[in-house]
Amino acid sequence: MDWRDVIQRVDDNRWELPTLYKPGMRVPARIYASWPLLEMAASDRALDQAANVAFLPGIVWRSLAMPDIHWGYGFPIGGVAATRVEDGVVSPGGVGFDINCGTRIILTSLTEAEVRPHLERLLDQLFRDVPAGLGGHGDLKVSDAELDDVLSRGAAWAVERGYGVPDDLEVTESNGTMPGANPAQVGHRARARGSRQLGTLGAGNHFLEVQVLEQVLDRAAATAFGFGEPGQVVFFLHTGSRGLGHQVCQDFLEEMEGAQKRYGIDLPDRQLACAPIRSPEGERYLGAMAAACNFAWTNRQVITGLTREAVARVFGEPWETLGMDVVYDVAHNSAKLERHEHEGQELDLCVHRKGATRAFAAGHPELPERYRQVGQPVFVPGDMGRYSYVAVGLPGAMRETWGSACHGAGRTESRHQALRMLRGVDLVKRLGEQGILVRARNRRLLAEEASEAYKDVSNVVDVLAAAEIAAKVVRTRPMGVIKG
Amino acid sequence: MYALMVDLDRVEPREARALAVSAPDLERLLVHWLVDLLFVTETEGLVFAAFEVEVDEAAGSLRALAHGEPFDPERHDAGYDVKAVTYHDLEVVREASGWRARVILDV
Repeated sequence: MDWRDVIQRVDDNRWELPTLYKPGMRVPARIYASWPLLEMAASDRALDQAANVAFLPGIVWRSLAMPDIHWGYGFPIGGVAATRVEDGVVSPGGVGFDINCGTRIILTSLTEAEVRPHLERLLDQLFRDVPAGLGGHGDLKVSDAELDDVLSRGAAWAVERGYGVPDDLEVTESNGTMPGANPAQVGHRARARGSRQLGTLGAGNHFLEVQVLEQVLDRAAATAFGFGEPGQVVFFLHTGSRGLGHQVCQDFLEEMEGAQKRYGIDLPDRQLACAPIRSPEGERYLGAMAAACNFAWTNRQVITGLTREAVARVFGEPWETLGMDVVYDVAHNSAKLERHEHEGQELDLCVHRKGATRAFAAGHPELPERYRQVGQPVFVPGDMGRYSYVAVGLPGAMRETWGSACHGAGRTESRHQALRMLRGVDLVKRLGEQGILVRARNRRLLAEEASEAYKDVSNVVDVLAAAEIAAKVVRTRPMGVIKG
Repeated sequence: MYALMVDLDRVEPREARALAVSAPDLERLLVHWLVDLLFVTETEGLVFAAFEVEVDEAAGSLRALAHGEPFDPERHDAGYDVKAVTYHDLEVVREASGWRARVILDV
């Protein structure tokens, strides 16, 4: 059945595939997108994947897709689904390989004019101190016992080890510690892969960027988040749980496939393999996943410490006097047990967000006190040649998306296609001409991350705003980029 | 898989690693083996370019010797960081001219 024949328009930014689209869908699939974004999503089978998610036992209300939706394994990237804890399932495909991948912004009191003359040296320092790319491992090697501590306690471990201050934890989602972590469920392979990867960036779309505040779009929220005037320099970090998280996902894929068969769950895609939340397999996965979440938060906290030290060295001042406070740290690949109000009832749900972030509105008790009157900072990175947005969660997100928003621009071209399109283009030079300095381990694959490979993130955040999921707060543009 | 990570022509067979895996079918056998290789690469820093593989389909076992050397970012022209081996559209088929396999890697 062609999606165009059945798609229902809720309004200009909300579309639904009804359950008749694929027999077996338990709920409709709702896509937040403008028509052009919807057509893009359809071109790479991501709409079909949103419909497949609607088959999951225990799914409530809708299989949701954010405006940056694109093809992923099992769930689309940009997919959100809540399942009832009582009788629903958890699916590793709804979290992804890079468990608890996320973004973090660190402020500075420096301006572009102050940083520009030192940018080369700053990037060189960061490139040395924050290992990136294939085979990149850090100076920090943890023993198995220490790793247990990391897996149980998350970012708090890194703060104790001197990679941050307690205030950083205040402004980290779940305070940087995922409850319910069970390190015993993290296998020896995942541990071995992770033992030397704390404080490393990884490759692909992960980055550490030096960015400049370009536009303030909501002064009150911007001030609450710590942003000053245009020209202010900030650091934007995007990375996750590295090999440890990948291996946890890998280890559970096959186990879940067996479990799914045993529990008699029929699904249209092998990569959606799942188990009841209240089953030994489901509980084991959730325990291991939570531990991997803690690894990811520890990783971002360690990188925060390394970044502050690098900046302090280059500018000859302690980071505290350079105003390097964390704005927020938000995750975008996880399954979290949350309570939400839905149609007048309080429901205990397992909210899968795959390439989607939380976007809690003002008043939510899980928000840090300083943001409770404003709402949660939502980071929507664009691409390294254009700009990124900071937004704020709105009540619409609590009503419709389990407090979720999108996590980026989303690709328009496959990575392969991007490489072909940009063959022969010296991207480092081109970005240099735009005033964007790049340090990349792998210049050959850099084209995959070029602006041409991504949607214009403006179009994506416009949908969030129109659908009252998140409102724009500031726009930033890159001046320095570190890539794997 | 290694062609995505490095320039295979520049990998010398200085070291070898023997791996043995078992699985109920050929598809899983392939995935298990690649997962094991990936583990060696990530934890020991070795990349491989030549393989001797023996498969006993009836017993569901694979034994292989992988030849390669420590990864050197200067010499090997680093490419993708392979995160995981997926089961998506996984296929191993026998054709007139030999075996053909399709495995999708997450990079």
